[in-house]
Amino acid sequence: MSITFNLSKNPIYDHCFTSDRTHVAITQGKDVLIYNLQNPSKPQLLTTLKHHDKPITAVDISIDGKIVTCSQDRNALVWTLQPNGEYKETLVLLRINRAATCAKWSPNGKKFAVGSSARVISVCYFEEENDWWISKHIKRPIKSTILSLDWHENNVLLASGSTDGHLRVFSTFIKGVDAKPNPSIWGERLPFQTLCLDVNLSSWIQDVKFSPDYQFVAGVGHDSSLFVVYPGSGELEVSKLDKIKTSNLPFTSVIFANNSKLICAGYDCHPIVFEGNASQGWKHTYSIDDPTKKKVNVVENQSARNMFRQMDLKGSTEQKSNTLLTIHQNTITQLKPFQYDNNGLIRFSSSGNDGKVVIFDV
Amino acid sequence: MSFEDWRRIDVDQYDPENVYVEDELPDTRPNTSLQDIQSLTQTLRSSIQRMDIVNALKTAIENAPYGASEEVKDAFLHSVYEVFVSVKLSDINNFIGQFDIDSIDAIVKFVYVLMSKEWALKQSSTLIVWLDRIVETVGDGPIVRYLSDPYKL
Repeated sequence: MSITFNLSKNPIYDHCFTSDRTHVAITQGKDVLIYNLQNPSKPQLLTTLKHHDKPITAVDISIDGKIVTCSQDRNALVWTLQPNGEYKETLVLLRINRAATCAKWSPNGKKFAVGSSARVISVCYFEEENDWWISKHIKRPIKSTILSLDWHENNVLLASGSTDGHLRVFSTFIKGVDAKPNPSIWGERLPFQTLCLDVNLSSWIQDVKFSPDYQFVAGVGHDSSLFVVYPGSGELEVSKLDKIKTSNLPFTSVIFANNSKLICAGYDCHPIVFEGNASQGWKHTYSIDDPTKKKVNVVENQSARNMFRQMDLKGSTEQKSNTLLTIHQNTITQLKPFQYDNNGLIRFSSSGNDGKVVIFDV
Repeated sequence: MSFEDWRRIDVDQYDPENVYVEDELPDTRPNTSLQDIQSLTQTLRSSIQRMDIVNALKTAIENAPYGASEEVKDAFLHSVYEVFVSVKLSDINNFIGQFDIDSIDAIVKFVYVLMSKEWALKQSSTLIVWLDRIVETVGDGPIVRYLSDPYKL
């Protein structure tokens, strides 16, 4: 089962649902559009957030409804809903000289992190006195663009994936903002910028996620592989690294359904499910919206003109449709969890370069 | 300067840290000499005579001189080329079934690098058939991994 929303003709780089699942924010070039989806057959455009002057690369909504957007114009903005129903933006001092690539709220909504091509992660928090968001930089040992970020539930640990091929976990502990985190498998003393995990996977890490129990991380690489990394007890020790090579095109996004199941999607335009655990390793088990299980599209236009056009364009007389067999007609850019029950994730949403947002059942 | 020119500014030119130092790759063989490759070529040739293509390719994959000099790499590619073209086209499918995914990735890499060499163009049709059969059985993954592979030949 799936529900499709055709929201645009242009690519959607990122999307995010509100916590009550009724509204969705999508990126559209330099703007963010917010739709009311309470009537699924008729998405209703509520607001357009306009301020950035280069394409927006990421959007995220915090648990208390604040929206953060970041853009190639090197800025991030925090949008808060005013009593009159409008959104007011607050500037964030990111202090970067390159495009911002990804932004994520911490689970409690008090901090957010912005990754950028400036080889830094800006960890941002609110400064009451000046009424703006300021940032602290995590610099070392990042060597290249940050492509993805994910928060630990303790609001301190942050996983990041980078084009230097490293998957890293940092501490973002900020005095006065964070409570001291409990010791975990990731470390005991965690001052700001402590490196808790660093593995070289030698391919761009497009997305990274903590497992639901926060005991290990998964990442997807630009070499069509899935990586599952289990930290060891020693400092920066990796107890197990699973690399699962696939026959697919590269993945751009990964989410966990539960501790033994995760979902990837990317340039193959449909979600793919992996299942496994630490002892047995991880395996591809099934695909959602699987094109191999669907019939080839019926040919719409069997005219002579079409036949010659086919021969001219593709060198074959075989009639083929121009649409893909999957719901998404272009790369899936982002997966987000949508709805949970007691056993874990039951629905998730995806956005694509085809301008669609789709809600799938796991 | 208009605002549209913003992307043309070289923001890195005054950045003192504007150097990307690549990570050192483990398991490279920078010290492989031409003699090593010659003896490898002998081994491969005797495998070819016994029509033991699978083992020939496995030996080649194990001994690939990543990180060695261009001369050594070229000698290595010549001997791998001999293995590829000594195969009957109809047998390729059988061979592919006997490799694991890591070996397939390496084979695709060899095929791609060979197709870029002028001296290998004479029988590039054989190389294309190798690639075609691999994509047919394994899918696009090995090609993507070739493109993103830091181990170059």
